[in-house]
Amino acid sequence: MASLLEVKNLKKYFSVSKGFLHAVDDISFSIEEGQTLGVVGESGCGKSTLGRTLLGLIPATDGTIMFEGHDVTKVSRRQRKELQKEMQFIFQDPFSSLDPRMTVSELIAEPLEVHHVCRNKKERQQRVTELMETVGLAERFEKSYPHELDGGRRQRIGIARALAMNPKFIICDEPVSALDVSIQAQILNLLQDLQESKNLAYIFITHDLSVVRHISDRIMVMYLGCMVEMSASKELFRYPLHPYTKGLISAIPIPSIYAEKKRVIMQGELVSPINPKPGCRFAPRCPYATDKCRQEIPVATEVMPGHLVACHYVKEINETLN
Amino acid sequence: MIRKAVSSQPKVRKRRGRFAETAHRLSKNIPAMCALCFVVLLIMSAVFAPYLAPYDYAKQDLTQKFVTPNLAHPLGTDNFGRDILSRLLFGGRISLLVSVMAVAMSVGGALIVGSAVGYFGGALDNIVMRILDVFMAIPGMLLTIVFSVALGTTLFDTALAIALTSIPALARQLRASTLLIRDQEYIEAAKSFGSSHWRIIWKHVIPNTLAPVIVQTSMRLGEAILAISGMSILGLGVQPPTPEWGNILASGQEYIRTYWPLITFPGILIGLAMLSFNLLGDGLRDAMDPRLKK
Amino acid sequence: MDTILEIKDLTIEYVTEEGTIHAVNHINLSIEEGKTVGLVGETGSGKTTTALGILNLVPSPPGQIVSGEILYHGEDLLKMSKGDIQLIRGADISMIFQDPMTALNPVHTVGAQIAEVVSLHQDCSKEEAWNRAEEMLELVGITRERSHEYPHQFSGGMKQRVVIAMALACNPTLLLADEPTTALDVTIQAQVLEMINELKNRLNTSMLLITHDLGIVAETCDNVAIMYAGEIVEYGTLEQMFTRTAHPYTLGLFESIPRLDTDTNRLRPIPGLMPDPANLPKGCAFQPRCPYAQEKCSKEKPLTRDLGEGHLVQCHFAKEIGIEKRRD
Repeated sequence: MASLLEVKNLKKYFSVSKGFLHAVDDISFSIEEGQTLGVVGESGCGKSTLGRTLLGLIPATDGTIMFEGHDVTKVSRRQRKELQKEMQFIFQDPFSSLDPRMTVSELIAEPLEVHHVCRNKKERQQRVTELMETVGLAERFEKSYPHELDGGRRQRIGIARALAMNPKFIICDEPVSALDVSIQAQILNLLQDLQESKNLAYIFITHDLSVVRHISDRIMVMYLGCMVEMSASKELFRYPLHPYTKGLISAIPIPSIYAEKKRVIMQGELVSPINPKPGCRFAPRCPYATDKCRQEIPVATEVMPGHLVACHYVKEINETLN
Repeated sequence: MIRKAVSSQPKVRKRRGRFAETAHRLSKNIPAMCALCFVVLLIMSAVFAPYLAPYDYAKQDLTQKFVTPNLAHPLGTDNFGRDILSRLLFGGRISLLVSVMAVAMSVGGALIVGSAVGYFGGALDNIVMRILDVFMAIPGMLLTIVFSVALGTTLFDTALAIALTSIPALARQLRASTLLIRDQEYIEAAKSFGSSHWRIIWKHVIPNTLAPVIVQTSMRLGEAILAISGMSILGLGVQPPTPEWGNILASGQEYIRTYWPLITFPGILIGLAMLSFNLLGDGLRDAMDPRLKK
Repeated sequence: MDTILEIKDLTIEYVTEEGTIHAVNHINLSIEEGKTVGLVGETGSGKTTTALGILNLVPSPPGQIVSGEILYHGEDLLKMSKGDIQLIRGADISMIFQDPMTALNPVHTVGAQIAEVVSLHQDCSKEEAWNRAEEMLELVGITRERSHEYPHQFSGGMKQRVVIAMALACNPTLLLADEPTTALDVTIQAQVLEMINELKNRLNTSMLLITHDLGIVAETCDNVAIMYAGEIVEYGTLEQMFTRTAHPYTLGLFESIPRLDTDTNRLRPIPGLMPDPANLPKGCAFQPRCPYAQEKCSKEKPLTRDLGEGHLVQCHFAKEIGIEKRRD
């Protein structure tokens, strides 16, 4: 079966005054229908840029994005509009991603109007009511403005908008990180229910590792625009192979007093992604780095079935692999 | 520190709509409410001038020249024996009409230029803004005179001349608010649905710049009244015998030492009208964005 | 052990046109020397207002401290004169804010900002203050040379270190940390938390740590207070909270978070929303969302009960619920 989305060697460089900012650097992956790919990384690692590039909100510098056999980077404007029906986006901040001057029903009707899918107002209104029910928004909020609602309900509006065109694929950019824990759980459950009933594929971008582990089938870890590790979600947490992934996982505070605390504190912080030096991006913070790491970019290799790691010394660091 | 604390205050659910909320806050601003009353009074008296005016504004009575205010002529008569009150009432129609036309044209023009330029940015932005900068470097009154000489002296031409002069400053202001809105996430969200640029400008950018536009409209109305009067005094605006506040004032110039009512009453009226529109504009700005206050 | 701070029956309200917001309602809390108390709750539960109340910094109007006492070494901070409390702020009690980006003044060097705090509270010369500032920066892992740099030259994690250095510059006995790591990335958060813990132990500072992250609580706190709708609904030692959770809201919080150590297919969120603090429900504030709620809960406000060994709960059925939980 062909993948729903297949990304090959995707690059996105931004031209800045000091040179080029490598926001996304040579990333390849694919997603099947009904699957969730989690993308994790710290701020500035390029995960949000990746999501926006996939949708064509910002043009890619190089590489291909095949969605159902069409290359998103090369299609005509009309074809892109058709493709946009199938690919949708859920934004991080439910406070700023909704136009403050529109009511809930106007907001949800917007994508329907843009694509002229409803023949008349009545049909559109019916669809809006249907969508509100799907995402669990009571009908009485129809005429409310977003500023009158709490974060959870606003994010439900965002989800209803994304669902309006019956897409096959939704990019969720930190959809729960602005919400309180109890509301976060409600939204995560909603996203899971929708995935099951509509066979949606998600790209779930987040910095929260416990959330990504909960919702994803596979996880990609990004560091400064590069993919450092990708594998099935449970496996990644059980056998993290890349030194960065190890540090990242051990840095999460665990809400249990029995948890073993053997923390690998990573020294230093992210270096600038502007005109990066050749070599592994993680080398300046890596405890195992050698001269080879500072000169050669490691290529992602499949060290176990379905488990890709971009590290020169993956075998040496992880004895279990031998 | 304080701001942090206020933002972390629990939010109270608002039951009133946006419009009602604004109206409620405006109603608490006493100067703005007085101004609003005066503006309404001006509009009403302009509309009902034929019924309110005690005399025909053009009827000359040379036996009744320079009558000081009395019961028959509450504000006196002018150099041709015409009733000043009647002339001011009818003059208000012209002054208000021309200023409304001028502001409508300038706001409309500035809205199109400002939001398009701000939204698209890039080379278009650079070129248009530099051209507007050139115009802004010329003193406003001078520019109005130049436009007026080129266009003519009909009511519409006068309005257009005033409108053209005020477009650059207004367009610059609207461009600034558009730049802020352009980077908001809801614009990106609209793009993600495949909305066209014009739809985004029309549906999202313009409605969100409306608050400053309304405030500016009120303030510009005051300025326009002053500009029209100025043009009339220079003889470039509304031509006699059509009464207009500015040309009534102008006709009093000659008698400034000998007969006070002809220059005092139109002067006070122009001043009050301007003050009211400005106070109302200020009040609206505070009412629409309570954070700006204090 | 000495009690450093004791909050008694504190009530803070915000009076607005739309009504009175009951931000903090009759809370009692005490902090002992060298201990860290975690104050956990969601947005709008009154955590930050409590911290501001301790320093008498609640913006007024609209805020006002309606009742209560805040005893710092036995002295009531609320009854102190403005001048006296200013001497305590920043010197004996200091605060770390959530956002390091806005807590520093962009036009002064970081060294100057720390030195200013020092010279405000200590009788010393300029050089001494500057020396102290550099010492503090070294303490938080920033080299002396960087004291002449401006905040924008530092990354987020480094800025938070500067803020912490500033907070600790006058050897405070009590540190109020309002979500000190929420704006930071996980790996940087780990560095900062480790540093705070180490400094706290070395300087024997007490701390009130405001957070929403139970993971951070588990790693840094000695005692925990759970806040809901302006009330402390459960209070106890770390062990009591994590192993003998008694309040249904605390239970709900634990079940809402995805875990790394266990597999769950579905989360069990707390249904509904936090009540409007201007319009709190009658009886128990949590009752409309509580799966265990009974008639009594909507009529009578539960009193705080001691379940033994200082484990305090504000719930009518805490004993029954606790037993059920342990059977799970």
